[in-house]
Amino acid sequence: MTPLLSVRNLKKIYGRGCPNCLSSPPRECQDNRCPRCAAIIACSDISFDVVPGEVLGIVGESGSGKSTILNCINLTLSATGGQIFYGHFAEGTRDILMVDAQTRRTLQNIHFGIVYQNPQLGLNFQVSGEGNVAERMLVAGHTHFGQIQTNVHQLLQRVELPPSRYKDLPNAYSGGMQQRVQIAKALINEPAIILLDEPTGGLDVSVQARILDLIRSISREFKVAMVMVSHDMQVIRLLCQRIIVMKHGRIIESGLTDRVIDDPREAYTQTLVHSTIQ
Amino acid sequence: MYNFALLDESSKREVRRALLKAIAIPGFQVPFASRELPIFFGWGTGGLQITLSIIGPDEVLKVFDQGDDDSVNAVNLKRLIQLTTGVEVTGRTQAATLLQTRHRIPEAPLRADQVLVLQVPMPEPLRKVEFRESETVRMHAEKDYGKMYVKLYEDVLHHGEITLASDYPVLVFDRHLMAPTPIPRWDVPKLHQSQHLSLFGAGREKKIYAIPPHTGVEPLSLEDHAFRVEDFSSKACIFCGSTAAYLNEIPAPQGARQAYACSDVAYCHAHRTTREAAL
Repeated sequence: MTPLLSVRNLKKIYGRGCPNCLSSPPRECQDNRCPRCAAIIACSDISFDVVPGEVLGIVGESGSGKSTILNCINLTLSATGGQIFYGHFAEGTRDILMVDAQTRRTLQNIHFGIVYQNPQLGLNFQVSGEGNVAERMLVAGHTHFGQIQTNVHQLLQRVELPPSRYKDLPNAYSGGMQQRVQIAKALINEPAIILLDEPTGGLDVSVQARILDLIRSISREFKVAMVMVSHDMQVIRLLCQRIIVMKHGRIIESGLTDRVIDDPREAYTQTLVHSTIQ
Repeated sequence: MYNFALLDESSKREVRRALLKAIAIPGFQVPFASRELPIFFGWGTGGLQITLSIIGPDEVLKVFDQGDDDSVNAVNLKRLIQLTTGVEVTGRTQAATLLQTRHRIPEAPLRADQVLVLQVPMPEPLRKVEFRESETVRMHAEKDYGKMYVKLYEDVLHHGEITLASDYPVLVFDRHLMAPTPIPRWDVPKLHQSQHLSLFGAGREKKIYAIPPHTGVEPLSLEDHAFRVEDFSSKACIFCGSTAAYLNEIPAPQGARQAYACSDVAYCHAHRTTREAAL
């Protein structure tokens, strides 16, 4: 199957960088920091494919570069090196890291959807929940208020936001409701892929379960591909067909979820799998 | 005593440079080195600097403020310009070659040989929805006007209609969102595919922008909540009887409940003269 998204040798360095850490793979680096120039290597030599409809999980400890990858795909961070190809843009022949600012904005607004752990990043707190979702349709060129509102209401109903709360500002919502609005916002333009950055982090367990249930049913119903970042192995096991394990900004293991969780090869993966409280 | 038109030649050249760039990129706000003037920022210094930079000795000048040629602001600007250039000053819209205005566009359509200079208090149309200058610059660069459209959406959602009264945001040449200055919505269609050149100067904010002739100017709107101008149906000016001009409500004479008068005084005079001649 032709991949929907191909990430090739993605690299992100915070700091100037030096020949040592800019080389691929970085030489002499034991962890995230270059011993020569002290630049932070957030991620390096990241390559993977996502096929249509697939849910890919990215796991790893805090600071291992998981969110950096998502932000590079969403083009909110500019990568230091590498290439990303997206099937619905120029038939996947053009590197989306190289596009101009206006095209980048179009890709972000119309082709990708992103759900952040922190709703402050994903929602506009000055406008209503409904307005937040409508914004994405407006930037995609829809201008008919009635039609937009119908679509938005349908989707908000699907993500189970109570209709009496549609007009409220996001700061009047509970954490779970904020995530539901973010998910609706990511889905409204029916993108082929959505990016989830720990969507259930910071929520209590029962709300977490319902949000995960929603994400799972949406991925089937909308046949949308997902890249999901989490440090929670249970969440990953529930949702993802395939996972990537990261440490110090590099992929150390990847494969089918069941294989990686039941038979982890790397020492770090073993620790990660076994440190879950049962 | 003074240089012609008060400003020194290099200052004028700076303003003209900004004007040329502004005309080349319709609706784009060009930063310029706004000068100190013998009037306060906020009293029309942006418009005044443009006028002083493009005025020639043969120009016929009209300065008006909210349609009125005799307001304190307009009279003072006119005196300053006349004192330093010696140009002829007029109240008649048709007779003027250079028109400086605050918050109105004349009712009479302008010709290709006339230039309209508008005073701008707040050049950034996105300021209503985004307070950071760095962000608004980025939004213009990327044509990212989603927040402004959401403002319209929220208006309709909460109030059933778009609540922007004056300074209605317009999309110029299908590219840049622009503040048309606090002119009433009534005047916005006059900027679309106009015969004349419109120049906008914001002295305090140090920005110049322009709409060249024959340029598309579209007010932002939603398909099912289209842009509308103010409604003056069943109202007429008590002085000239016009029903086709922008009207101001004025103190009603004894016995009357409401009274309206033309905001554009020159138009009102002309209309009254032609009507009386016809009688």
